[in-house]
Amino acid sequence: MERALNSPVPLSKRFWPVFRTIAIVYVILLLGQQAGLEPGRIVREMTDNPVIIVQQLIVGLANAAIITIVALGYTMVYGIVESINFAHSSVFMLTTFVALLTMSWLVNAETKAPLWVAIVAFIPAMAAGGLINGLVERYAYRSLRKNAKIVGLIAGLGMDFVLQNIGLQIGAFGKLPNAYPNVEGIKFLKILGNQNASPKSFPAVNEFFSGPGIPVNVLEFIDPHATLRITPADLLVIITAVVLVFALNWFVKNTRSGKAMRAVAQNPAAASMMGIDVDRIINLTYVIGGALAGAAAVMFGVYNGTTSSSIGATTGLNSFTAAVLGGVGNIQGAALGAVFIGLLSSLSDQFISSRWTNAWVFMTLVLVMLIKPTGILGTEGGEKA
Amino acid sequence: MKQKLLNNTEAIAIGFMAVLALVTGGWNTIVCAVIAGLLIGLSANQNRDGIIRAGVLGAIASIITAIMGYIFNSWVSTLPGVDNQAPDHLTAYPLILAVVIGTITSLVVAWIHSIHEEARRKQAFLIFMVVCAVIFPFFDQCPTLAWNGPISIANPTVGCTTSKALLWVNAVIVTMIFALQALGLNIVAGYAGLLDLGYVAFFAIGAYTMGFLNSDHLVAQDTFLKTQFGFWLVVWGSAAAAAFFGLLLGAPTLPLRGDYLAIVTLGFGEIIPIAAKNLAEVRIFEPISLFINQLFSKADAQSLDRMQNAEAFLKNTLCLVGCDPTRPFDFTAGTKGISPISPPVFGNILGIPKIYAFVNGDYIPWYFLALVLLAGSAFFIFRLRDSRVGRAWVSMREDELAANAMGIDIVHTKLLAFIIGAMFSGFAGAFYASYVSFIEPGSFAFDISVTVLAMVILGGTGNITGVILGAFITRVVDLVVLERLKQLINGITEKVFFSGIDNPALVQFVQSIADATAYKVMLFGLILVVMMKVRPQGLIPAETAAQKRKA
Repeated sequence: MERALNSPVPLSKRFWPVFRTIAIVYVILLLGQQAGLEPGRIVREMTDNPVIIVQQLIVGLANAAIITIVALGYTMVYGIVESINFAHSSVFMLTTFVALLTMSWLVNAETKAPLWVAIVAFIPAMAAGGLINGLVERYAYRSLRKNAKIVGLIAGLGMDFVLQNIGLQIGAFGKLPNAYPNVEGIKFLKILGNQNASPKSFPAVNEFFSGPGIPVNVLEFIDPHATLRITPADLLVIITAVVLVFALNWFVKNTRSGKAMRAVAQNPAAASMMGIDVDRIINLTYVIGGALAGAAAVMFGVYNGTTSSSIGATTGLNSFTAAVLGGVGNIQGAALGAVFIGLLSSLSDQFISSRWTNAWVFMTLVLVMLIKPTGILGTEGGEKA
Repeated sequence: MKQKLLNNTEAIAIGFMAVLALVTGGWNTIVCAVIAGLLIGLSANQNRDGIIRAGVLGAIASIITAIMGYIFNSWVSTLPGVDNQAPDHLTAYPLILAVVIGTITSLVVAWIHSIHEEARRKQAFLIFMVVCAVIFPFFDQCPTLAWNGPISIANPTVGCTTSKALLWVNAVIVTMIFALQALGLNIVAGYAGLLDLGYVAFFAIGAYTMGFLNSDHLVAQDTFLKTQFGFWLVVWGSAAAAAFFGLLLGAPTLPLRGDYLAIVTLGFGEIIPIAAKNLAEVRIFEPISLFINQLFSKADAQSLDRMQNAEAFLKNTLCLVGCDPTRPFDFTAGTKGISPISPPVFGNILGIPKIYAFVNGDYIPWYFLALVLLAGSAFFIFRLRDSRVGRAWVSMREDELAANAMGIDIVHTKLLAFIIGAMFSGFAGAFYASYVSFIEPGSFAFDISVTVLAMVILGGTGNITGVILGAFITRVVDLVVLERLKQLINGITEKVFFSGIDNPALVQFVQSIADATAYKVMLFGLILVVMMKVRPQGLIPAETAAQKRKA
């Protein structure tokens, strides 16, 4: 005791944390410049053309909208069964194919599509997503829930591979119309192209808006010489995401099933004693998560214009990072995390280096886990779905 | 108790080997019969009846295999597009040999299995396995030796004239590299119970360390190190580099919940190929001087060669790496890949003359090197498992809370497992790079992580023998069966179903739907799901502590 009073913390020890932080930042700057982290250039480019920042913020928000909806699927499932649904990213990928084929079928393999086609495509995509995720839960996960956690994770991973492979092989059906060029019913499969793994283009919904009287840039209504650009696709994606987040929030807070979900998330045993069918509620959570992935798939298709069997990994990583960043199990948190990740990736694409964007998102994930593993809005074992 | 005619192991062994013989045929029939005999011998009872039963069953299995081989020789090999390995004048010998050797194998294995004293039984098994492993590559060369004609002074160049005949030995070397990786992942997933999904990243780090330090790539760079360091030195460097990255990744994430680690490693596995692709033009400046300079001048540090005032920029900025304005430092050679990577050399160091140098494409020395490395690693891991750390891993996997209460530092123990696992992967990567002599970012895709995980899960998490067995099954399916099945299906569709139909687009469509190799990922995914549901402990489960105490 006396010793502690007499000898104050030595100077070197007091400055150690500061020194350490400076050293870490210096090393990041030293190595990060290879991945485009050159603060001088970034500051100069930003000040040279501030409009680009705002433009990239809009792009980032649109990306965030898609990430949010996928992240909701992760976060809801995690909130209720405390385990990652590894198959989620592949369910999302498969539903982009459902959306692609539906839209192609509706416009009969044309390259342009009116807006109602995109809106109608939500129905089959969401239904397919819910169905696939529900089936995966029922037949792959349910019986494993009482086992060790790693067992469920590995089974989820296995399902992920199975679904990914299905996505890859759907691409093979693009060769069928070549065999029967005169059969009208299969003409829409042409959109899949001749290569299984190559990107497939959606019918362009955007071009519909460029018709007479409807400008591509929404801002031209207000100012014909606007330098900023907000496309109808931007608006569609953002509005859909906001509507879905509010709808889901309402569902979880106010409906009977939503209340049951919260009860199961808090304490499955107690919920079961209160007469809640826990299996059914967990399945419902997966179905809703899958349906949301389907909605995100249509948004992704309309916004990005292409899909392929390998998009699941990147979107999955982004969305999961968003879910963890916002606090896993938290709906608003997922949206908040998604906005951060969306802005980070769009700004990184523009100012840092588009080749390294995924690496920066990954860095963010590791940093969040290092600094605040519970996420921004999460509390230790606290609020869930 | 009524005994079943066949138990599951025997049925699976016979069925699998029969399919294998059907799609490979020729001399491979013998290999299939031997493996079937081996498995039947292993599953025999430990008494005299067991030996007799194993002999009969082994004979039956060998005959079935031989019949399948006959079907291949007489029908499958005539289909268009199927590689034919059996020369016409030799079709009968391999089949007769298959029956004889297959039966003998099952008898010998059943006899070894009937030895009651455990230590002696294990010894006998070991000797048998070593003999098999040593004979195997020479046996594999038999077909080429035979159909080049008899050895004579006039025809001394007997050997592999085609790579087709070396179907197995190459596949087995690659399998052993994967088994090495699987042994490492077994420490991470089997002993410590951690799910590492980016395992390929450490494999890539090991391979790139080897490629960078042991090829002409470094010699061509503008550094003071204009030398190749040699396989034997760099292989430790590769393991160390992988272990370092394992520490870097594991230290922050291991204290967190287990499924976060899965996602972080998954992300890491995605990032490493991106890094390998993009680190072909490296320039590193001192950050502060770079910051000041870039604020005021229009300079993109990564594209100096396209800049007009590059000289002035370089003068004002403190450059550390890749300072030549026309030529940045090439770290990974990007998508071009690094080639050729030097093979190992015995001697030729410290004044000792060169004793022997490995040659790429000459498989037999590589086979023995891989065998020695694999056996050494397996021995090392056996010893490690029984050490203090190994016991800590096992107790942690069985009950983390109890282990913690007994004074085991959970985070440190897990981290150690993660690092050692990464080290093995790096080690395997170094050997792989030297063996194939060419690496590029595309050879470290995600499906390698999947394959290795499937090996561990299939064989038995936490059991070394099981993991090696899993590696062999998975790899043989991947490299041989799927490829052959594709040829078979294509041959059948062309010859049988579409022989009269003139619609090439339709044939192309059907073939790409029925392409067995395209379903590889699905097959491994199904293995994972089905194993988790049916037999989560794997084909050969690990001994738990409770069983050990009983024994």
